[in-house]
Amino acid sequence: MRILGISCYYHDAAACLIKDGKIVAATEEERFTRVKHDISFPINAINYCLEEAGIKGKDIDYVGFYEKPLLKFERLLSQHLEMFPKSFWSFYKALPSWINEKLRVPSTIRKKIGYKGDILFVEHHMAHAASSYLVSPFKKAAILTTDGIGEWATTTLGYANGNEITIDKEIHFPHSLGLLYSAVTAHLGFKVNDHEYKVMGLAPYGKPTYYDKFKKLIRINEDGSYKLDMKYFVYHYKLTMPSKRFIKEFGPVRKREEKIEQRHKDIAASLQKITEEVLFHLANHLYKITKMENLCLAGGVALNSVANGKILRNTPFKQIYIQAAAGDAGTSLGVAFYIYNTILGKKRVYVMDNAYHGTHFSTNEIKNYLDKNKIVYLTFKDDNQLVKQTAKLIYENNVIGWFQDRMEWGPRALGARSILSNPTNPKMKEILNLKVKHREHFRPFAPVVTTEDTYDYFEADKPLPIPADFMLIVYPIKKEKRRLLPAVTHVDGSGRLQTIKKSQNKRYYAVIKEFEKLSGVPILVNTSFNIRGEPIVCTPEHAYRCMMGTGIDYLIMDKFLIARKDNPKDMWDSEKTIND
Amino acid sequence: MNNAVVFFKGFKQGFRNFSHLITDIVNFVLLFIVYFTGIGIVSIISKLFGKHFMDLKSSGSSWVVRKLKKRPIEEYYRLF
Ligand SMILES: [Fe+2]
Repeated sequence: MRILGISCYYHDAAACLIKDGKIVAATEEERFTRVKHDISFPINAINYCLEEAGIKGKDIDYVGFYEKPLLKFERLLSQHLEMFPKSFWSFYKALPSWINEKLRVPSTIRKKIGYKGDILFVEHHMAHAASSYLVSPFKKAAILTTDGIGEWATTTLGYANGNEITIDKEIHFPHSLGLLYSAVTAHLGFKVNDHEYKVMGLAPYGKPTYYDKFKKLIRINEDGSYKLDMKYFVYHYKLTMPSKRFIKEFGPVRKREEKIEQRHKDIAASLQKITEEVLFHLANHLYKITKMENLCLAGGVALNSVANGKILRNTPFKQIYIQAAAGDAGTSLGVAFYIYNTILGKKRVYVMDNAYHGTHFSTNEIKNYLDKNKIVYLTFKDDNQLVKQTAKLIYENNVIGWFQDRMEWGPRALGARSILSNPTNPKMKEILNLKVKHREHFRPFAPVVTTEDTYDYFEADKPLPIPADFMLIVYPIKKEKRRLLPAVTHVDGSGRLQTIKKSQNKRYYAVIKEFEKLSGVPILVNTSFNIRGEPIVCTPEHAYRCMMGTGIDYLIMDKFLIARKDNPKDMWDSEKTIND
Repeated sequence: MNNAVVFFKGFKQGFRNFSHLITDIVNFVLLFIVYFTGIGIVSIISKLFGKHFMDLKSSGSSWVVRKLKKRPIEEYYRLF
């Protein structure tokens, strides 16, 4: 039985195809269209999923959509009925897309993929809950979903047993922890629905001196719920987010090109503190009502890896699971599994313990691409040579583009489309920023560590949660190890690690182990393989173009080694075309 | 010949811009009418009767009890 899940029209359009309860392919539309967080109907992602399965649209048994569009439309109308006449411009901007596409989902699906069967619509937060629980290793678990907004719900508490999921209670729009985070992201001069992770990276540079002010705009109730004081926000009737009162309280909105001052860092620190407090409060209340030891998290807020790393220490839960694509892309997977396991009642046969569900290219396809474009390259004679040479290049402080096997599902590069470098070099952060990433100075780079060595370097939870494999958890780096890892130690001594097992990615794992032989450290810098402001690379062409447009020294693509300096004819400057 | 191509290309682009402008104006007028009559009248009458469409001001718990579970498959065919 084949089921296709689709999410689109809000953020991170994506498709996921499952067959008999296992993932065949799952990928985000942005990787194909090269538009970051692309929200359009994910026709490229769907076509890829069908191609991977070797089928056509007519061969699918069910299609699932990640929300109930009319419920969402009802919420939109309610907003305007409540906020009339202040909401005209927001109404004017939003309505055409509802009439042209969002209310026409069934006909769009049928027309674009040539499908005639059943289309099932599952509530957004149920799709979030399913996206985590149904692919977790747990037989029963409590479930907390938190995002910007679904139809009405912004936060839900639920539980699951076997194949059955219950959403017990929820908090409704406009009260939203996700939208609070986005409103402050906007206030700090970053892009909403994109740069929230920058605010999280900025937070450790500040002190939570604005915490009391935040307490004024969010009330935490004894029963675990929270409520925003909407006088501080305008997103329920305007296209902007913080209100004049918010600006009076927290100071003027930072313009994107303006310098980041201590005030901005303190606001970010205070926001992170209050977000964690609300999350722990919700999770503790969830434990109180479920008494379950396992916790599944989902929704955009579950991408807050700093908070995720503290949840087990601040609640009675013993184990935590978060699926690699915890945000809206993941709901395409959630709806597909919900149909299979819950609606149709089929046995759960799958645990997501790796994220390699995207596109891949054969050795021949890559060789043909290189030859056709007259690219100068070397071929490794075997895996042993590839691993040794790669580790040596990294040890010698080269920046490596690493393009191997199937692309990652979810927002993080996890060793299939990654940039790798030496974490022991105190200058590596500057080198990476100068050559490739051009990031704000405050943003940390992430380490990848072999699973069995994790506790030697990190103060991680025991047992090690699966979401650490998806780079969704931040843990403190052990004090005595921090000086060994200057390139990946954040200002507060933490690291947003990826843990990796040999069974998940043999070549990647072998390079890390080989690097350990040279440096004494089983850790690499792993950052996403992309040009600033663009999605992660998807094809050999994207990878080569990225290397030639940045300062990446070598690209290791399948068993081919391509040096930037050997191909001067294709060099260009990606910084001249940046839109970030 | 070249001049003619340039002229027609420019003409086509100009016409496209013009049609976008007309679409925007029609959209604006229609949505203006819908908003200030449809939304406006319902909103004013509802508020006269004390009806609210969003919880903006209440104190107390914000939990909405759902007990949302698996339902018969037919319920998932609906867009609401
Ligand atoms: Fe969501």
